[in-house]
Amino acid sequence: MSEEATPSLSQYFGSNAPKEDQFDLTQQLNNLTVDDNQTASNKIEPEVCRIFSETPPGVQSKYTTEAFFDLIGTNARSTVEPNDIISTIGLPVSPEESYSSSRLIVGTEADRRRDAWIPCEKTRQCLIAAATATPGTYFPQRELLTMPGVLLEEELGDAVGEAVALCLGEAEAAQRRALHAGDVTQDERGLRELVQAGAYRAAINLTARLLTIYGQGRGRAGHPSKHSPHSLQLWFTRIALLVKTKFFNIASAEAEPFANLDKPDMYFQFYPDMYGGRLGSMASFSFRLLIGELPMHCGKAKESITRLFNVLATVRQIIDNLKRGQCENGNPMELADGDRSDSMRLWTGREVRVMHSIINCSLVVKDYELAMDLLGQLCDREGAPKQALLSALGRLHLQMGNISGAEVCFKEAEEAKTSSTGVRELVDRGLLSIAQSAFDDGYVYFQRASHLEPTNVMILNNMGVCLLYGGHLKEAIQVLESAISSNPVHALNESLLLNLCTLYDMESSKGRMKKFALLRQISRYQADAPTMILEKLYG
Amino acid sequence: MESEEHLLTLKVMRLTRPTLASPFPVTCDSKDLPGNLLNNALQQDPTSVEGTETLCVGQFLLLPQNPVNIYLGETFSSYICVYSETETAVTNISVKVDLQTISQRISLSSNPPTATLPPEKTVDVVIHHEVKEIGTHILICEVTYQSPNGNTMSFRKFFKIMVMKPLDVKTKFYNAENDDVYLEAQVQNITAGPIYLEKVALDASHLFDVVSLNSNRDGKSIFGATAVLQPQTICQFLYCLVPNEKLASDLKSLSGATNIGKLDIVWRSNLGERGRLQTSQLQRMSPEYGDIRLTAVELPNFVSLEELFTFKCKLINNCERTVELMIYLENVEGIAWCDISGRKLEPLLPMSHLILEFRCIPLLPGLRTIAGIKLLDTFLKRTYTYDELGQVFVIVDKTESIKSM
Repeated sequence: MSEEATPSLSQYFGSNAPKEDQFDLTQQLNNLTVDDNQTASNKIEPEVCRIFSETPPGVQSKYTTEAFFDLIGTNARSTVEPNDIISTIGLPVSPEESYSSSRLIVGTEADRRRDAWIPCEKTRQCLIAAATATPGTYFPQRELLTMPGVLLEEELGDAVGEAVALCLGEAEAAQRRALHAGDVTQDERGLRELVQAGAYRAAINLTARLLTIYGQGRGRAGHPSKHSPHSLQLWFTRIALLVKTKFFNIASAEAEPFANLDKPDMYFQFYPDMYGGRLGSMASFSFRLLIGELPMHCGKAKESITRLFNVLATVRQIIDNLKRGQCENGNPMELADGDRSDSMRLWTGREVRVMHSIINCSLVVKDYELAMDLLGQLCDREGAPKQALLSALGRLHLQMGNISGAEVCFKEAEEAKTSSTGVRELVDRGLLSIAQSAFDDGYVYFQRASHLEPTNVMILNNMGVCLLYGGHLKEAIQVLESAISSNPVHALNESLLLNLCTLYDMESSKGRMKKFALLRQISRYQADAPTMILEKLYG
Repeated sequence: MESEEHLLTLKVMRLTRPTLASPFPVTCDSKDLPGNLLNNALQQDPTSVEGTETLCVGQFLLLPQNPVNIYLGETFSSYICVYSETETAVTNISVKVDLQTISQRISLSSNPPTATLPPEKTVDVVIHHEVKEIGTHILICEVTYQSPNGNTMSFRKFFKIMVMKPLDVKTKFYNAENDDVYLEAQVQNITAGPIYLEKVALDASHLFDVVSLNSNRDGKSIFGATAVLQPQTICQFLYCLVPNEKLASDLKSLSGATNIGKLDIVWRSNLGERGRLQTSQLQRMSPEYGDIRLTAVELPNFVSLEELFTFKCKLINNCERTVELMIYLENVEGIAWCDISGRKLEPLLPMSHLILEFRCIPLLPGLRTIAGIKLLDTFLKRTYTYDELGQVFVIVDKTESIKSM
């Protein structure tokens, strides 16, 4: 089976993702919330007994955490009850519940696999203390708590709309139909609707509203509050979207309280009364990765590299544990063969994903040696997508100027090819020609590729760039404009727009009018656009 | 503005290499709140690469967005676009592009005039020039045309370019005893970004044969596969120059052969942007041989303790007269001579040489320096002392030592 052979990024892309990850959006909505109350009343898993043997069951244990959550004051009681949270933010409870409860039987296995993490020693000690202390006597130190809060003072406006109003007048701006945070249901489902529409700023606004319900809204940073998988998912979504819209400093500042997502209150076992014997990280792996990458966006790529290597070390520890016949966190526990191989696939996939992040970081600081070393390691892995990786290695060589090295990689990529379209090879050859200053040859290669994939925006763009270097400005503009008119949703991309604006600037003083036309297109097809592009359009 | 009075506008864009754009990957598991939405967005981004979406090694060409430095030896390329802003056709348009450096003015383009330029059409000129001087350069673009009313119009635009130094090359020479010359060349990257050294070669003067000592036995570079030079870092190359036979036999011209050759360096940076530099003629310090020269030509590396060994030296008369020499062998610690001291050598003709053989017995084990040879020029009463002719390593032969017990 092909999916067995590829411990790749299939869980991110493509259809051969492990079975239990294939739920549609609405189903996930319920998993997240339902998990909370189900596991609370759940049976205790065997490995838990070892560490938490003294955990007093039932009502009493609630006080262990409630004691300090009372410090928050006012409505601490209601935040403790997961059911209350769900009803407050208006999530649907019933329709797919039957599905969810049937899933529960396999669910704990999938949860354990997905949430597994190995805490640092200090956190581990603290988690043991939390679980073994007499109820009401354990108060973790303040610095061991995660106390996030929304820092962005105001809601983000519709940047495209504002640009339209500024350049094209209020009348045109009034015609714009963009989704706002208030236009959707005030819950996860509404949030996803905004994300799907690409209305990232509106989605960021909605996360702030939803986090307020958790006592983590504006001005709440530095105040203790209770975490749940759901609140952490809101944070993950918020910070991911802040990164996507390039509000890096805000993302970094708001993520700061989470540190490395390794404080005790980021683990299920910190709340034995709520999650029973459930173990592992409450924050998802994607959140962990995102937080590791954050310093890079703020000019501190070296710090990111350190953080990501730490994540990689833990992932590899987990894989070692699995290989040794233990479960992910190192506890001796019998896993069914199928479960173990599923787990191996998940975690080797994550290992690859972390390595990708480290490569990206090393490219930011132009540490080509590290990037090439890691890419080489990825190529050598069993079942690796060799053609794609070797081609990437070739492009990396081109970036740093090693043309002969790039040629070797591209040749090897061609020998490892799996798809028969030939587009990959043609694009590689086009890029190689450009590195050799043969822009006309490059154009021919991209043109041939374009015949095979006429709607491919990247190929059209590259043709346009070759035309410019060959002295054909007008034709270059035509190619880029045709790419937009035939596929506006995808082609109104930041990089393509930057290219087109550069060409307009070259052409004449009428470039301004053409840029306004572009803005009109963006307003029509895009819910959101990067500030940099908008500034370029009316600058 | 000068251009506003004209019917044509002129714009200039420097054509440095494009970059490869890629989106910054933000992904999640399908179990996360955004489900597959972020992954789908990434996959549909035209700047992501199918199959390696989560790697920022793109394939989407992005035109240069920020000014990039230009360095000596690189090629300066520019796009010059003349655009008609009027409703009527303009005739006889000529675009002349010159580059004024500190020392000279270079013509980069003088295309034949364009007969007519209809409204909204352009005249496009792309120029390339390898920069050979450091410092301020001025790009001068001059547009001449005839307006519809028959007047000849002309305007000029100037663009300033600063050419910087890309590399710092430091050299060191060692004149070896055997007349070989070793060259140590340090190439430092003083550009703002990493560079890839595509070629570093020594174009030696015809008097020397070059052996590059920068690859291992398998012919692979000792700097590894990447050989990227980060800003401010230094890469050191080593070459051995062997004087050719004719030169080696003639001490005067060997001593005068101070021109070693030139270093030829080709580097590349972003997406193959190329630069090439050649150093000026590298000069070594001329070795001083004096009138009389004595060098070891045959000397064993290892000798046995208390066993006789021989070595040979070449004695060269480097002056214009015949010399008569006395040879003295002085006692030195650890070595006993087996020869006659205070002996007179045959007269040595100008520019001729003689091979002398010496015999001695090592008395102490370990590394011993051959010393204690003195030559007396009987005419000038001048003494030459040779205290570092070479070294031998004296070993204790085990079988011998057993016998002596």
